[in-house]
Amino acid sequence: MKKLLIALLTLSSTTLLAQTKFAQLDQMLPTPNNYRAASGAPGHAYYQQKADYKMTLVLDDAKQRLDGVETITYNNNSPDPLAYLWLQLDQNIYNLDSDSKIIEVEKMENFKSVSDLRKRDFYYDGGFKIERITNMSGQPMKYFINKTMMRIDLAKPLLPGQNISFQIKWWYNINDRMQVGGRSGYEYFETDQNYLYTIAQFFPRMCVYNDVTGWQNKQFLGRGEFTLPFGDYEVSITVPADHIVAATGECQNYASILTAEQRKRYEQAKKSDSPVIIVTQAEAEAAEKNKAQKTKTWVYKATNVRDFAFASSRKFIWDAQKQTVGNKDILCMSYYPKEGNPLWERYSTKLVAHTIKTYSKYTVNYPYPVAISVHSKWIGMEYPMICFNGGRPEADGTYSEGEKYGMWGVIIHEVGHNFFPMIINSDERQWTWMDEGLNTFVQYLTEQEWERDYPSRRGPAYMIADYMRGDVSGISPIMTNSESIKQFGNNAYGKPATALNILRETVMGRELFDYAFKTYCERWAFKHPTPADFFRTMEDASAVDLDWFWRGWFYSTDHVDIALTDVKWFQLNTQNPVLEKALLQQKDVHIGVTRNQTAIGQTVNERDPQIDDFYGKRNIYEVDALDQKAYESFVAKTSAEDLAYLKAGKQLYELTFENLGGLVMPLIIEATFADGSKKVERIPAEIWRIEELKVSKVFVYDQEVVSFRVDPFLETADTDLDNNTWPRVMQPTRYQLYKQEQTRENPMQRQQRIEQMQRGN
Amino acid sequence: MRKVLFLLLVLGSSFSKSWAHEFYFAYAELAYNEMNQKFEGTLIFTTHDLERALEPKGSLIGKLEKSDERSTLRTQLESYLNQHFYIRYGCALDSNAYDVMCYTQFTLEGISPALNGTLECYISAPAKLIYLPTHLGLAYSTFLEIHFGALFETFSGQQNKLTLIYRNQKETLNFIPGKETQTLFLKP
Repeated sequence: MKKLLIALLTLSSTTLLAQTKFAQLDQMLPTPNNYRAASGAPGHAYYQQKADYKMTLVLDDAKQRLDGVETITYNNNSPDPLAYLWLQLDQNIYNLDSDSKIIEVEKMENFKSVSDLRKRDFYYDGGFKIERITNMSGQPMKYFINKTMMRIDLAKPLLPGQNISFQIKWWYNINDRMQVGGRSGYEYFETDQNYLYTIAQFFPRMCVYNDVTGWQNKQFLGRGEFTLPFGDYEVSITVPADHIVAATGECQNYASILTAEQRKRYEQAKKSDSPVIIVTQAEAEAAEKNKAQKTKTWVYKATNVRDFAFASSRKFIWDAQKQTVGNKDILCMSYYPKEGNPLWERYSTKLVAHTIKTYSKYTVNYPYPVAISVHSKWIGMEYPMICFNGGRPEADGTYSEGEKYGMWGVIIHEVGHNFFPMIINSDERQWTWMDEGLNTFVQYLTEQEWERDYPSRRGPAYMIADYMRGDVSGISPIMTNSESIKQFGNNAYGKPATALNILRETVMGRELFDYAFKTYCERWAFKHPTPADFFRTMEDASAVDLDWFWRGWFYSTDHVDIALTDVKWFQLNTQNPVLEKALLQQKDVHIGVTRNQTAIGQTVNERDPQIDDFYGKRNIYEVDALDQKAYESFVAKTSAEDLAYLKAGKQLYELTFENLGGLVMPLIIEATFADGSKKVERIPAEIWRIEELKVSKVFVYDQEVVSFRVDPFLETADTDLDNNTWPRVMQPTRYQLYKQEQTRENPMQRQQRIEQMQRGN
Repeated sequence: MRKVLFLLLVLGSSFSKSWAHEFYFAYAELAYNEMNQKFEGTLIFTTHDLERALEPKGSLIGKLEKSDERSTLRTQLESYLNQHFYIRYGCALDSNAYDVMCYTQFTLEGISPALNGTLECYISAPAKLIYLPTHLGLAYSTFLEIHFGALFETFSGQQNKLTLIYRNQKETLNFIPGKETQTLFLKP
């Protein structure tokens, strides 16, 4: 401890350092314009195109083939004349010459067996077979296919405000999803010889044309997903008569395709707050055996959606319930084969209802009439109003707790995608994080409202620390194109979700964050936002300068490692000679002096009074008249408040913090006092605004501190907690924690032992 | 040109599967316990990724979580971990003969499945490391050659990270396919 003499000085800071971490993002963001405002809102001249589809589809269950005819009406709302149109042919990723195969990086060690080589060269006859493209008079239109993109050349430019309709006839062989992979396809069930189809990216779809990219016609390489305009859909789907179909939109002809009993159950479900079975397992199992030869056509309409997907199988069990959002009742539905039970019947539809309700609170009210979860082994994939989700129990109907949480998580996540990007329609081909990251963040909030302390995989800051720490050669900034991301899951899902959670809990606070986040969602619902629109809106609606945060978390691979490297302890000098001289007397004494007190019976000057002169007789710790007078003078010149403050026994601590990871963050410091009480100090990240590597801060307390801890609530993603404490406390490793555990039993084994004990065994 | 001898295996239904959610990240937290002269640590995997690596057809999905300590699956897991995570280190008793190298052989002490889909594998391996403080003026220092290639053979996008804790220091290394082995020079 040091005694501190406070002097009243005017401080002038003349430190001039290059500002980097807190520099504004001006140069890195696109210049605001009439289409996108500096506030992050759509500009007054914002526009977007519209693409309406009328489709007739036939699913051939014998050949696993889909045939379609579509009429697209494309509305040019842009200020630009368009000489050609670009469409996406996503199925062409299965073509033999697909870039996605050619660009795969390979090494010989990847091929350890003939099986590996055959897998590499496996080919099925996939890809779109375009049979014709005609105008509405039936005249062929000129087109050119460039891998996964198709350009249609117009006879004359499509002028601003005009629209054009044209027709495409196509077919393709549906991929065996279990063999070939893919976001859609079919699963074959060998035991009953039936198929379950989850069909998406199945039709030539318009590309987005806008003020940011012009035509977004970047090739589909498999990872960067889809960028699509909004439009209205009318789709008729012909399938085997015993199939049950689930699709984007509302079915228009249940009256002609469902039995009277099923229609009655459907009407019950629309009014029910809990799931009602519309097609039972017994009905589905009967259909599995009988295999109808006739067909039925299901007709759907969907308004203002960016895509269309459907599922079809005679194996489907179907249940539904309503969920009220705002003043609308949404019909939440699930379709699953018996292989999904008992998990699916018990949880799926309830999870759908909970998800749209919770997301609506944090984003915008769910605007569509239905929300659907379809069981699909192994994957999770999202489309407007409908998603395909994994989570399959064992064949005997048992499942692990992990499997249950896996199913819950994937359903919440995929249903949540209705909001990002199906409604808040970002460019997935360019930025994966804009839908996956934002969605994973709201997924976390939704999981926590489903079950207290839900074991979310992503969200809490500390969970990203392992990924971010240390060697960053294998990771990319979040602001990386979808195709070039290293560590896709952590980069595009985990890190942005964590960053938003940190903004909400630590940097902005829940109230400011929730308002700004909702503002972003409301501004960009049914529009095409970019990263800059998000960054700007979050600042615009909150009055919090977050450029340092976007720069560090989204544009860099820095990590958080803030170390508490020094603690200095001071007390105020009261100027009272009685107190201060007494304190001086308490100085540490050398061991030799102490021992000499007894070892030396009497010194010479103690024996001989003639030895000590003035200096020898003087007691330097004695308060003399001059000391007293000086103190009286000090008291006379000092206010009562200052004197009281000096006498209050304040404890002063100067803490030094070093930024070892590069990422600046707020300082959260917990002081623990001698009486066991605690105080938490919160200092905004701007403390680093001038000195980015090392800062200090003084804290004044009424009592002595026994320990300090930085980031005590694990809210900053600090990657090294060992340097966060004073005095130093090494955090136990996971291995050490494991060794400290008392039991090696799993919960079920423990329960069995309890039951045995209770039975008296 | 080299002639390559391939194993002739029957082609099963083991084509690459598509997962919309790509995790592909494993993490090792390994400490050198000087008192016990052991490496002690934890390997953390996405459970279903590890299950797929142990059995590419996916029939082990959901099985690790339920396996007990004496099961064949645990033995299989321990063997897999030792094939894909090992350390080569100088182990001569005479520190002047430092070219004698040993390999770790980890014991899988236990596993702990987390409900968020990850699996922690607790491992330890005896290793008598010889620290050579630089002030001794010797021409070499203690180093570890660490191999961490788990799941690389199954997922081309897999990355692994290791944090080594020793003598109150931490070093973090990143491993990617093609860079499965890294050398870490220990600070005195």
